[in-house]
Amino acid sequence: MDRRNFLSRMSGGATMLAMTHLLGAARGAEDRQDPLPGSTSLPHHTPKAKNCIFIYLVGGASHIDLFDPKPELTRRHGEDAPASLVDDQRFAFAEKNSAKLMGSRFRFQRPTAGGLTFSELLPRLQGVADRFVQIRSMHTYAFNHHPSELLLNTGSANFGRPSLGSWLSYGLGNETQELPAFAVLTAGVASTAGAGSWGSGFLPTNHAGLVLRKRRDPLLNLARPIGVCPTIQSRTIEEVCELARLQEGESAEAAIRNYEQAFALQRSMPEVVDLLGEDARLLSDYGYERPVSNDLRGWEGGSERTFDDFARNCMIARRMVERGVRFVNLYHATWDHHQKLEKNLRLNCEVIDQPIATLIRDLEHRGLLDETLVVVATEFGRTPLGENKLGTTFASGRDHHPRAFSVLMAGGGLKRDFVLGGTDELGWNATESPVDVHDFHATLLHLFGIDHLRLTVRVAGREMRLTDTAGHVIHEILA
Amino acid sequence: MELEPGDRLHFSLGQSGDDWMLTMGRFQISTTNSDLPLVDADLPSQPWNSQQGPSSGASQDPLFEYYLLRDPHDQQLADSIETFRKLAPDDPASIMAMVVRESETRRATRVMERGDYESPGEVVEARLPSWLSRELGGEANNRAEFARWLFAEAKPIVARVLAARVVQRLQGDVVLRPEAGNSWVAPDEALQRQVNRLAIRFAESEWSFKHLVRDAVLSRGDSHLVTPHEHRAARQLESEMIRDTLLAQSGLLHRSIGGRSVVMPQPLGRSEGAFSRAEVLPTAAGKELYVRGLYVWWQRTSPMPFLVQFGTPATNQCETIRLETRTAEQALSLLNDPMVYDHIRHIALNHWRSGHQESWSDQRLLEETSLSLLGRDPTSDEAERLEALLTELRAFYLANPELVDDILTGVLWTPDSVQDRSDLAAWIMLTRVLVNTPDFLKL
Repeated sequence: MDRRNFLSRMSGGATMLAMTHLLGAARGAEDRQDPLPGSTSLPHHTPKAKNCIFIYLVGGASHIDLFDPKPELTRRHGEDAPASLVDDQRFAFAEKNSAKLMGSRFRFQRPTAGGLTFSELLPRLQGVADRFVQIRSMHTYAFNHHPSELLLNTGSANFGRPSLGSWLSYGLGNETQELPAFAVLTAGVASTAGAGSWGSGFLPTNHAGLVLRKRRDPLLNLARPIGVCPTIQSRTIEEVCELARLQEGESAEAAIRNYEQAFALQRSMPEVVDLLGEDARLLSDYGYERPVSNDLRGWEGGSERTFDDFARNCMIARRMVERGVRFVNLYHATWDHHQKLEKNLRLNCEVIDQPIATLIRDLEHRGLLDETLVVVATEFGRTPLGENKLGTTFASGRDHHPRAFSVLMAGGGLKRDFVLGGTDELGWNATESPVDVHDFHATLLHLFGIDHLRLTVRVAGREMRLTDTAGHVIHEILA
Repeated sequence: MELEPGDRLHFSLGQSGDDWMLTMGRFQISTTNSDLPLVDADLPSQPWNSQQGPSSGASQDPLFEYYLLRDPHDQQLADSIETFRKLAPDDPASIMAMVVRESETRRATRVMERGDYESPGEVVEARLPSWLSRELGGEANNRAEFARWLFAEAKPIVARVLAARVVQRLQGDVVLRPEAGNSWVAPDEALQRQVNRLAIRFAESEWSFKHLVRDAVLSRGDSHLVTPHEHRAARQLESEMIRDTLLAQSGLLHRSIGGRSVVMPQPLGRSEGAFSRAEVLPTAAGKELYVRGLYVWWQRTSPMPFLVQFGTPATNQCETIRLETRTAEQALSLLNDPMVYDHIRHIALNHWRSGHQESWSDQRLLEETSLSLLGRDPTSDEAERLEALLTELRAFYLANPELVDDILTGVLWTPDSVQDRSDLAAWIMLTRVLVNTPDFLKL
């Protein structure tokens, strides 16, 4: 029997099976297990956002060098750190007794009508600045990377909690059968918290972020094992489904659904990361295969490949939200610039500036920005002091600074060209409309139609939620 | 055979495999027409009297000692016993043992604000919860009292918790379900009674888990006994057990107990986004690859994908009930994961070789394979489908021998003839179908 005859004997084939069921109702919130009464009626209110592209700058991007201009700090560059500020401050490395103020070496660009301005390192983002809300008054309580990354991504500084994407997947389900609800793409070096930042914690692990590989197959186990030809693979899936049909019950139905989705994933995942069909000019606009700076020595943000990786990830993110993926998490590491801040920031900004700006324009052009929330965030800011840790003679970087940092948000039911909050004249404290991480999370859930107080899961004797015991929706930034 | 009085017959009972032999017992019979046994200088002075029977410990001891001195393996055991005898003190009361004792000074224990180890808060005094304090008469406030209460015969709470956990895992029945407002409900009264009985017998059996598990499997509800076969529970195997099952069935499982956790090789590109020691630690090789799931190193920032896909939760969370998940990624793992595929090939090989050696029919081989993977025979409808599939697969691989070579590459043993090779390939693919059916994942 040759392969063609073999296939012809298949009763409809897995392709037919897959098509039949894929046209049915999308998997959704009914997959949740043990939901509380409050979480069965999701969404709680009309959502503004359907998808989210969450760009995470791992390591603590410097607010005072990129987003929050502080001319007074520049004027007082080199002065001793004010005792009133540093006395009760904990540092990772800086020596508070001898630390000096360090102004930014970078100029800021002409602000938009709404007051948004970016550093000269981000010229293309300045070109789309009027699409953003900029929160300049973010603050956190965790001052080291691992807990702080976890806090921003999961609402808790302790590991083991579900990430933001997991909560959305759990609460709202998956809009697409062919792709995961929550995908993770990385560029640069590794993030400290790793899977803790995209894990599902106490939620079922199918709500964890699926990490796409940069090379080879994007998802693990997409490729058939050696020796298994497409004919046999299709026949296997068909037979598994047919055998499951002989049984009754929920597990048999789930098995059929999963094998059909697995069959679909083998086609859809390679397709979604395959950029060959994209317009070459658009690819170029994203910065794919663009010439990059020659001197990468000492750079902590990756390698020459990182530029393409990040550009590609941004475009894949757009393709994913087009296809219904709920939450796409892009990571770039590291922005932890204890030294050589100037060079590291220049190169890191070169990595992200063009791709993110093009992503915003591309989403807008396709009519997706209104329903897609784009977030650019980091775990904390950096000190207005130069880092003078023991043994250094010259401060060329900044230490961790949880008291103030900035995040950018665009689309998905937010205002445009709007700045919320602010820091003091040195960028030390969030003084105007301070926003903590829980407020930030409550607002994100709100945009997806979720009341953060009502999306809970009972664990260890109490109702757990993304916002822990805190969080207020920031109504000022909602459109 | 004709025997004369005084003749001796030597018997040796053994069991052998391909590369091993187990001595199960040896004995000799001396023939006599007397009522008295023959006295043999080579035998202990009190030989085993068949009329006395094997239940007599007094008669077995010398025999045991006798063989201990003659078998090289048993000689080693005898040496070990002697060593322990020498180590044992004359006065057992002099043996020292670790015990828990309350310290006279207590270390200050603080609340860590929001769980942050960097943020120590107020000092917490040692005391028992008020409900527990009432249980203990309001006096006790230390761990020793608490430990006594936990294991009190009057209220075997630990035994009951463990029994409930075993029942929950074996039967898939939830013994207690959390409700809003910090309360718990028992959904099934009969189940409560079953758990209570199991707990009592568990404590009475000197906390024998083996006894408890057997008891739980054999009893259900209002004490009517059922066969284990009726107890095919609906719960999904836990991820570690799925891996262990595949390993055990393939004959690859490394059964050693104890030792360090083993870092499994990370799939290429899987952990590049996460700061991960798994990338720098030496990874498993050889038989270490086949240790039980219990010993797989859990890298928090980049855990083993197979375990995550099948629901191993974050290890810092206390999960009394593993949440079952059914996902397309699991299907992809069972279909395509190179590790799973390798195990499937060896599972099929084991059954196929047994079938060949024992001249099993296809039906028998199918039943044996199904029993080992699904814990049951195939139904008639399933058997009909699978036999038809087998026929198709055989024809397909006979016509496509180049695919057979690919399938058998890396398998520990392969047949020579084209016919056998294509037949084995067909059985491998059939086994792959069985591993992917829903019942394979059930406990």
